Amino acid sequence: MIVPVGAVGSLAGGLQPGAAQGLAQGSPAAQAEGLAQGAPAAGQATAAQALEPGAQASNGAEAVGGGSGGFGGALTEAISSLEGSQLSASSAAQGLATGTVKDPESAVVTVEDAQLTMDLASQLRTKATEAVQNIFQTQV
Amino acid sequence: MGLFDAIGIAGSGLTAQRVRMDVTAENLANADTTKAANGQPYQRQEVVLRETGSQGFNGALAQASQAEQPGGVQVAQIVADATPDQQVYDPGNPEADAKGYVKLPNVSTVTEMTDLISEQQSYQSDVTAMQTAKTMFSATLEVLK
Repeated sequence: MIVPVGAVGSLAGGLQPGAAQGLAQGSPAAQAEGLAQGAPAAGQATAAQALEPGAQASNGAEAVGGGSGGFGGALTEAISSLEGSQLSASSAAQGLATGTVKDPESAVVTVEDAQLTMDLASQLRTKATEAVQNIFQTQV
Repeated sequence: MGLFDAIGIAGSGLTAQRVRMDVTAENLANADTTKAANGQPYQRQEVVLRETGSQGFNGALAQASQAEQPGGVQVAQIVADATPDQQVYDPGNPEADAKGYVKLPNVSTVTEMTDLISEQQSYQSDVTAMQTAKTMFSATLEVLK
């Protein structure tokens, strides 16, 4: 349980402007590498890059890498992992329905994995949106 | 170790226990089979389980690199029980030999039933482990809300 708690802590740290930059730089990329199974699709990569300016603004001069570290990289990896897990879940369900999968347990595991990864990704998206909204609502 | 490895590991346990259950069902179904594929009485089958990644190239690589691999269990092989066949005196049986003895499989129904209980318990504990892991991950995600 150390791993997910550490990931969440680091990502939350990365979301807070000016706070815990050290946390945000190191571990999320390593955590997300474990998550990732496939190459990021073009549309997802641009979605993550679109978020990066906000992250850079919140972190001041600190650079946030695209795929090497920081929140943007972690998000890209998490989204590509989400894509892979969703694909394998749908193929597992299809295989179970058509009788090509003789192992119902692995199909269940795949679907559960996809669901949890989806939950994680959706929570990260919510957090990122909140952070961007906060920045946009800054009074000048 | 990845995020959701516990679920995959518990899933490998589910698969292994299901194979054990299949083999036990096979043994029970053939408890009175006097002619198996080789013409001899059926021989009781037994499942040998092995830790995933403990052997072969991946195991050697994991040991050499000291990497923490997601574990689990897998079926190494299904072997025949070498216990001698049962000899039952039944002169009326068409399978009986000159002295009236019939060779029956070395399957003991009592052993198979106790195996069945053990398999059921193991399967249940794997399911519980999987559910607990899922609950823990979900609780962690709740922190983000």
